[in-house]
Amino acid sequence: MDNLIGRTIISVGASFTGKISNARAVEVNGVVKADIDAEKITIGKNGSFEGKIKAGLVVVSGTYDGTMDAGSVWATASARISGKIQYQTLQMDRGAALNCRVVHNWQADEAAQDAGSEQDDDGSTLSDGNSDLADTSTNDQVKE
Amino acid sequence: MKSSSFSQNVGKHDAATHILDGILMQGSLDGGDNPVIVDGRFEGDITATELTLREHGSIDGKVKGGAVTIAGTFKGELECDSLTIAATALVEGNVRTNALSIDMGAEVLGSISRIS
Repeated sequence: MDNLIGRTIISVGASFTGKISNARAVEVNGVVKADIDAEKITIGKNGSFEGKIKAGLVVVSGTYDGTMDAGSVWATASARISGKIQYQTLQMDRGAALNCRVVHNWQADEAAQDAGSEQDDDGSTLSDGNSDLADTSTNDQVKE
Repeated sequence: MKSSSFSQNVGKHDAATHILDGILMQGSLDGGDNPVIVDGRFEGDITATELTLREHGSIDGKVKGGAVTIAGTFKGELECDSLTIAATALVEGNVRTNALSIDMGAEVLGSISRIS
């Protein structure tokens, strides 16, 4: 029962309504209606999330409705997204359903470049996640 | 284990709802059939069949549950079938339960009664 991976989990069958703050990694397998600011958010296959998300990495395998502002967004094959996505990098697997406004946030991209290497050091855990995504996407391209 | 890649764990289900240390959740939580473990801070209402409030965790609000274990700080109203209060616990408020155990060293302030 111990959670060794180090993330807050809303389990299958559970539901939460409210506000989540000060979170690092959050996994949603239940139903959540909340505003959240976190480093990494995973919406599992059975998960559903409604509300505002601000995060470095968002992995969506379930249902999302709301306004999302994320560094990296990965919509897996079972993703159902409505609302608005504001992103720097986006990966969409075959089968993912996006029924939303998708906006690339290039101003934040430029700001990140201007900030230079210092910011890269700060977001080390974040960029790990990004490189994971980047790796999988290049692999896919090679296969195809 | 902590360094394990995030994306590798996608889709793997952990049965319990787990609120980690450092996090603040405000609102209402229903744990469904699965246990709820609180290491962080929770403000609001919790309904759970099995609730564990760990040593550094805190709950401020109303709790309705089956089997509840408290080792952290609880303030508010608590109604449950069975309650275990560990030595490190601070419980303040109204407690209604049918089975109760309090470890030596625990601080309990308020009223304790049975569920009629």
